Amino acid sequence: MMMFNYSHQWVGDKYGGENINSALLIFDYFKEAFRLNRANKVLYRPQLVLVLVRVLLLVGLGIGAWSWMGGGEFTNLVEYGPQDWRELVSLALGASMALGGTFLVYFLVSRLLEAGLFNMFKSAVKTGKVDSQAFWQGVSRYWLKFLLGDILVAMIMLILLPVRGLVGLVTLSAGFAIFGIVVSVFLMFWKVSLVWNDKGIIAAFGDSLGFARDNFLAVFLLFLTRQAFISPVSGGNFNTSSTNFNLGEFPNGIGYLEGQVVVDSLRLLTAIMIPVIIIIVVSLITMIFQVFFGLTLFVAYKRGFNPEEEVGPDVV
Amino acid sequence: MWFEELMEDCKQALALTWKNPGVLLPWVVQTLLFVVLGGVLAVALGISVVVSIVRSPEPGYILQTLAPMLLAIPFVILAVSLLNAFFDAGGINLLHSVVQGERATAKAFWSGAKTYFLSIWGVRLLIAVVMLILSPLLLVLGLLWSGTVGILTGGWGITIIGVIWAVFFSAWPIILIEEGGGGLRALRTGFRLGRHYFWGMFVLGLGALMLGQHFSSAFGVLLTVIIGWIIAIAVRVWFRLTLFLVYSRHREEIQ
Repeated sequence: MMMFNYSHQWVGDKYGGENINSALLIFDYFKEAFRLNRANKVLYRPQLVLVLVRVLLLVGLGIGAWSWMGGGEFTNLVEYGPQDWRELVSLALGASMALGGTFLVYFLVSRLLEAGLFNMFKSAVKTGKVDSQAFWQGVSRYWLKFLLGDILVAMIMLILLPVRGLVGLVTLSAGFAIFGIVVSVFLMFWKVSLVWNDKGIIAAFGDSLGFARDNFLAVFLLFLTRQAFISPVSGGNFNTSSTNFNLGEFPNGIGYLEGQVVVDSLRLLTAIMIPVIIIIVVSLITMIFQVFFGLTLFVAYKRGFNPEEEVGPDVV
Repeated sequence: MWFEELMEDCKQALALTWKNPGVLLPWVVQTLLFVVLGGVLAVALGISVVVSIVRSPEPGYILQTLAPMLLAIPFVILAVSLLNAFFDAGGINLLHSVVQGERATAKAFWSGAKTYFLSIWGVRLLIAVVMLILSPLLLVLGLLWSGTVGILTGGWGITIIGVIWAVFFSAWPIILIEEGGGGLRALRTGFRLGRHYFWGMFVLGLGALMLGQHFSSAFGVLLTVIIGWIIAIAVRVWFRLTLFLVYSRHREEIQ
């Protein structure tokens, strides 16, 4: 078990020291997370699998779209338009099934990997190294709870959407963003609490709420810092539109020449390969931050943002 | 270990920023000044356009009236660069006094503005001239980089260029004020600090960039306009205070 030296200059009471001293501990938790991260490269494995799943699903969707667009159904649709409303409904249903199915598979697999990974985080933070059984233990214990918890959070957010919209309207949009941030801050630790204490979903929600309430400034700053690195629009202003297939570029079967097969195959390869490379690179970069901040959350939860427990604080 | 040292410096810098909110003032004043001056220029431009349209709606006449304004652009750039150098010289000297354990006072600001204004402006002018000379090459390389690495990394490749620039070229004003020597010497020492402590400076630069962007825009459009710029200033001040501490820590090794 590693020991960490937390001695540094603390901020005195006249400067509102209590809150900021808790927030300053974030940097100590970063140190601890960084060490654990370096010592346990195995933590990247579940994330690497997730990257692979993302790529496979994307390629699957791309090939599916390609096959459909190269077929007669699509050609007829483009040339003559939809025959009747049933064709349109069937088209929309087919597209929804394909996208919904892909999303469902991704949701199930990502929660499975997350459950295992969180148990690996717990093992690393508790003992300094990851237990070999931690991943599968985590999957069997927490997968279902993570699934149900995430569905519950999504439902709560959906129910609160009118309230959020109203708050946004009254505050000229400011409240809309703040509402989302505050809810996220209070729920940031529910999965950590669930895994750390082996609790139920509702108890974990309550615990996360209490933890964020007791250490609001610190948890709030940690949330914003984490979001800055792992949110989809962070980093290089990652724009999802740049990763989408440009459907307009796809050959659609009209005036299709035999000699163009090779050229079109190359176009298909490029059309699939470029988004795939982007997804892989961005996922790998984000993965580093996700593992680091995941560990930080566990370290923070274990330590509890409590400067008074640290030895010999040097107050200035 | 470099990461632990960096986190220690980041922590101290945050504590210093929290205890001395007055250090934000120079850049708050600077931003407000730019907003007011920019507003006055925009209103002047608008009035000129309206007056010329009223006098004669001929496009040629309107362009003729506006043409002298284009001549003012170099003067506006010059004025902005001078103001930037002035506020940075005073503001960074204020940070220096806070790092030394002193209080943030107006005296420290004016003393820094008087002493370092010309050096900071001179080095920035030199960098701008070099960049201007190299601009055709930089443009080609930039387009190539953006079109390949930039796209394939979902924009991270472009962010990294900004971070690497910060690694080598962000510390020199701090070194200039800390050491009190010439600007070119500070530039060289800043470059050496970047080479010597690359990963620390890289993580710091990346952190400052990401946090500055995210913190200032996380609270919706309205609050971004009202307080986003103050948050961005706070992140920049924290970054510069950390640079002071990082430089102090590695000063002996890179001299």
